[in-house]
Amino acid sequence: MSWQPEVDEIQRRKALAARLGGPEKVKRHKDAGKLTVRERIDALVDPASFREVGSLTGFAEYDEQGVLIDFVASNMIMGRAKVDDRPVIVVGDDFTIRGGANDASVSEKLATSERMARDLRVPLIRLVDGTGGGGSVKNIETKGHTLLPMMREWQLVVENMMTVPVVGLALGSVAGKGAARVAASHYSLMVKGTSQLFNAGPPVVAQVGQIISKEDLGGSHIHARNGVVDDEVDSEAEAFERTRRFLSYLPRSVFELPPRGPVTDDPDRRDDWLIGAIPRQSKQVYKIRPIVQCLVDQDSFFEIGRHWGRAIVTGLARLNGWPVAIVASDPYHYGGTWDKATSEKFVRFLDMAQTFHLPVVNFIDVAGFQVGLAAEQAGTMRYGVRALAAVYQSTVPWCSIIVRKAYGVAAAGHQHQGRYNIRVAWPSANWGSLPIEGGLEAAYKSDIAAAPDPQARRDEIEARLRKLTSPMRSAEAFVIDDIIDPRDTRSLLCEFADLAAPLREPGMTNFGIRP
Amino acid sequence: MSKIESPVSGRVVAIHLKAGDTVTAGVAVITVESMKMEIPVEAERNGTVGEIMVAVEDEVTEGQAVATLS
Repeated sequence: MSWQPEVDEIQRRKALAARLGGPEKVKRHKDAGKLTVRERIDALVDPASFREVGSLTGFAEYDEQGVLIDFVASNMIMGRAKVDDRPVIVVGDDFTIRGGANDASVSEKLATSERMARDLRVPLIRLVDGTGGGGSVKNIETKGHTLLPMMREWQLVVENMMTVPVVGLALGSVAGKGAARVAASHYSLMVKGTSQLFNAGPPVVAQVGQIISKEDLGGSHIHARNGVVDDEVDSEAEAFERTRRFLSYLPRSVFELPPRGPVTDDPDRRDDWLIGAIPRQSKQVYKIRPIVQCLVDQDSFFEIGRHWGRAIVTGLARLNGWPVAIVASDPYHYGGTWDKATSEKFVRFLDMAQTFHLPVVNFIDVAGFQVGLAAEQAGTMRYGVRALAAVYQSTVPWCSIIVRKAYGVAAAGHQHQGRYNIRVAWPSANWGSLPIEGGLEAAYKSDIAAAPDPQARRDEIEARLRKLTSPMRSAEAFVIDDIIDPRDTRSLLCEFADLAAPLREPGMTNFGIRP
Repeated sequence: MSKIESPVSGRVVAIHLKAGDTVTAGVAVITVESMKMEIPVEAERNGTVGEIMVAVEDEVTEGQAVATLS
């Protein structure tokens, strides 16, 4: 006799598990505009590629003879799958069972999903839709005692940040450990309107005197703007599309190199409008995104973190097919001066580039750190020096294009000065330790004060200095490698990517202390 | 009806449109000077300007509504 009865039993149990939290709870979930966890996995991964791990995990009920009469699946579904024919680990909460609370998941499953990603060295995608780790306060009565918060799997979460690409998607209301699992990733997303993220939700917050809705407390309009998550999207479908796209630039793990994509664009393409892209009037700003999009392989720019740390635009792109990390100043945000959030965004992005061996292209228009009382009160320099440290701890190939301003300590960090990096400027570039306005008043204070007409004297000195600020004069002294026609930039960048490709070295990065 | 917010703190140096003007996404409604740069405050979508809520020389703070758009 074969094992057919047992195989039938496996199928029966899987069929019971497929009911999730039951038709009523599934309907309520879907009526709220959300997909079920199994629909999410299907929408995310390659067709028929999902191989579930722990498909029989759950809570069974037996009759007196020991025959199974009912089965409720664990509310954490996980397994191996493929995305664009490359392996991934996917783990998702089932909100329809106990609100995705982790205590209904069979606890070892979560740790196993993380361990599987670490030890198989494949990317991890977390579809988070649940509450914290300890579950309901009701557990106190069920267990007869309270639990010390442990998060035993957190070691794996931290190690995975150093080992494999991790994507955290907030797909419902995520709180406590759920929120932490979203934020502890290389790329995180929220869905506008249907996902919220908080340390604790409205009932707990009410106890500290704030009566507030979950959307007002932790909607994507908050967390895509403070950097808790990188981006917000309009739909779950868009979240999955962006997840696939993000992973396409990255290696399976730090032990491999980012894969070259198709070469579809002429590396020597010259776009005429670039020669006029930077306004001649120094107060006038320009849009950096079209410039970046034009210089990288067509349609290859994937921006990350659009709404926070806005003095820089960061994203992944391809140059002659090679994946690269792009940092570009955005003058629309306080003239491209760096604030705390910008430094934090820079560090988070550069660390990812370093971890996954992505060469960096830095487009610089940095007037300095933000100045003024508010900037000082915000502790701008603390975050700024951490960003500078990240530059000097990086070893990935680096290319700097100075498109306009480079002033002060913030601009000094435009690359690691201790190693050779390709660095050129556009004709619109200008630089210095201090801006002439303000710097002049400090440096020529007594000279100006002693003059019969101080203002005239000041203006005369400024005119004298201005004559010397052409980048051509700096190029004569080899302060800058070269000043190039902006239309030749793509050719240079593609050469850089070709040169950088064999310099990338697989392996784990360990960062030292940062100030 | 939605509000157009200034993305930066600074001083209003120009107002380009008036109530009733139609505007397309990306067009500047006002200009704010901040950190010595002139930052256009742009409509995020197509619409009609309802009210301009600031005047030239006003100081605005980051996130402050400067106009309504319908």
